[in-house]
Amino acid sequence: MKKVLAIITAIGVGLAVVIAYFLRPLLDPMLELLLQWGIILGSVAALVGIINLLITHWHKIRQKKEHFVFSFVVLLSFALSFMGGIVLGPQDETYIRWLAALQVPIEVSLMALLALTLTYAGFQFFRMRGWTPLSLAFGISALLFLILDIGFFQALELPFVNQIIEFLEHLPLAGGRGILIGISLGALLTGLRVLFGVERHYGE
Amino acid sequence: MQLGLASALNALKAEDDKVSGSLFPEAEKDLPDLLRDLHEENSSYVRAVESSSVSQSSVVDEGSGQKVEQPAESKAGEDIPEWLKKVRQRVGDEGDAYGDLVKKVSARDSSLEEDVDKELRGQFEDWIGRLRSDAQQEAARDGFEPLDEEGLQGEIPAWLRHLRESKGVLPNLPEGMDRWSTSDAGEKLPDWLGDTGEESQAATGKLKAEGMPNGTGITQQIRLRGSGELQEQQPLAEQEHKTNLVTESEDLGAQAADLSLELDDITRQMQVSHASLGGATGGLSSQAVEEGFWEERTEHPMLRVARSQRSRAELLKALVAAEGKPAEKQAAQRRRKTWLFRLLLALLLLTAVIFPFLSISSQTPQTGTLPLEAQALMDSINALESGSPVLIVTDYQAGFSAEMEQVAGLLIRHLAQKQVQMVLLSTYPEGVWLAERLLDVSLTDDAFSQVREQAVNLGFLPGGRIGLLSYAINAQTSFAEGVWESSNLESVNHVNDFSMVLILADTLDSARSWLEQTGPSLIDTPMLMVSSTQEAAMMMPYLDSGQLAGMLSGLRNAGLYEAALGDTVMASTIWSAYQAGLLVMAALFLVGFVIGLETNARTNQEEERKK
Repeated sequence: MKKVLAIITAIGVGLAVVIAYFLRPLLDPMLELLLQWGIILGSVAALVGIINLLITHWHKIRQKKEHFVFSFVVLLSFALSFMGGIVLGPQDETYIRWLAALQVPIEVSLMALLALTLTYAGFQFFRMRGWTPLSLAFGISALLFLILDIGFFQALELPFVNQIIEFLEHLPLAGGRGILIGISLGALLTGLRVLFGVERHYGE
Repeated sequence: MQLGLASALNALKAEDDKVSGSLFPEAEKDLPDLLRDLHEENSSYVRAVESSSVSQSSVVDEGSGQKVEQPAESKAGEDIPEWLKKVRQRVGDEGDAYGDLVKKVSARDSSLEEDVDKELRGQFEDWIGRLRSDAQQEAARDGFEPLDEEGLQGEIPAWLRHLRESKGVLPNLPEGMDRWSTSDAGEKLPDWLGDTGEESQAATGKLKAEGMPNGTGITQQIRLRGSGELQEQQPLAEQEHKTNLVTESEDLGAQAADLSLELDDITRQMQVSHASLGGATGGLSSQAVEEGFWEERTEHPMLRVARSQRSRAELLKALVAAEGKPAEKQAAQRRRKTWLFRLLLALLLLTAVIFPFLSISSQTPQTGTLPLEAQALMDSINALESGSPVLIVTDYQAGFSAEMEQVAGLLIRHLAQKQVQMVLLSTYPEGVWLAERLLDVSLTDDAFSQVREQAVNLGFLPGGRIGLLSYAINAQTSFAEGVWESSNLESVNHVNDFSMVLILADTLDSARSWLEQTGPSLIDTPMLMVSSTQEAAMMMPYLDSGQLAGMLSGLRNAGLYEAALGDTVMASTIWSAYQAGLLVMAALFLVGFVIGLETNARTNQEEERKK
């Protein structure tokens, strides 16, 4: 019975949103209400996720599991950020600067590390694999677009070279368009499966 | 050692049982308790092994030339239902297709078994011959004389002499038993001497590890074959000689009792006996013999294995050979090398990126043609009137802020020049303070202070895509009470009321959400995009379709945009560092590419050599 109720609710809400979307602005109030409910439910789910995360780390500290020090760091950082937001307010300039001063350098350092790792991986890729069709295709395209992005050939301002560059720069367009069409078809199919009750993640 | 002695006694008993019925139990009665226990324990083990091997597969005993019957099957035969018996009888009697098929299969199986046995016997004979000749050569090279068996007589205990007499390996055997003299004893390695329970298990384990066929039965088959050959070649005179064992077994029991106190001595004597078989001094354990056999057997020309099997065997050999060697040291050295190489790579990249900041004294604007999409964006901003509200969405992560702030900062300054009202919003939690940071780093000039003060940060928009759709339907209700009222946005009730929507997105997912959920609600408001270089290609289709009115992506286009504005804030320094970094990366790829060519050539050479 619970399963059937979940299926009926999911299909009913899905159909209502689709119909309301096509009959805008006539059904805007209903659509807005359903969307607000969805946002509230999503926020509650996020809250449950945060509480679960905190409990998991708390258990790790209590049981003194391996690397429990990191769990302690997570809880401490969360407590400080949370208290700062409660006391000072999320829009407070000091609070925002404080958070940005912590988060931006950390994430930028990670990105720099990623660039270094990718360079190393690219070097090792050719060294270990030798010349295979895959490595050749990857190598030529990577080198080509790295050199194009440097901007040396564009700075020459030769009409013939510019035409070639323009052609090369439009090559990824075809791939991008294909990926987007694939994503759209996948989303459409998933939506239809949910509406027809074939896809039932909520029932599991 | 105790197990070996017990198995020796057991083997002796088994052979004597064949010859003269159950005579041995009398001798057993005289055995000391310890040896009897050992004997019983070993007998039960042998029985268990034999029963399991017999039930698993039918072992061919070449010595007798008969196939060992499967007791389990015969017993099961009693429980066979009547209908199955009839079917079997019919298959046996009638010469129809099914009966023929069964007969042919059986005949083929038996011929195959014979072939395999012959091949194995031949390999074993070759191997033992080579082993003996090698050992003799080695002994001669080391200055050792082959052992004089008679000289050893003084050292050989009585129990061993008795055993040898029973096996017919003593030099003073009656006439007609010449081939069982000491010189031949080496060829006919008695099964009881060359095998202990532990050694058999070790050899079987090795056999399994080598991946040889029928790994469970080959060692046993060789052993059986050895004893079978002994039985086949035993002359009748020996049979008569064995009848004397009845009386001698009593002596053997007494001698064995003494032996239980001299186990160390026995070990030494066994080793001497082994050595005498090979004609060399020093210990030659049966384990070493079996190892040598398998080691050489893999190289035997008669052995037919697939290339993949050979390579696997070689890999296993290498693994076994590497066992116990300081592999950890090699791994540590490799790690150290990798670490050093990474460090060098990092230093090289850092030097390339930092160098332009130190070396360039004058800032020069970038040259080139501004792309069409960037030109369209510039035109859209230029068309804005002073004071018109512009929605700026900061949907990027802090990790991308270094790139995004360089590109978006230009547009923020351009918008500030137009004196528009900026409204900031984000669907990322960190986007709230990244928006503030963006304004701080972009509007440092005092001329923009008024614009900075008028800018409104609406904060975080919750709900992801649902939140975006809700925002597109009713912009005001998507935020907490009071936020919209305090933002001084009286003229804006709907997202279409903004003069421009500028999205700063680092991922396709985020950009798609805005384009697909909010885009349809924008009737006469242009939507523009600032994206990271990596996602620019994915945004191009939206530009082609007209869903995006303009776009700016990457440092190169940002430099051109800046040059078009006549500004030189980010110009040469950052752009040059970016170029230098890319150049080093491209060079490293190229080096790897060339090294890959060498790797390829080496691989080809190895393949050709293998062929």
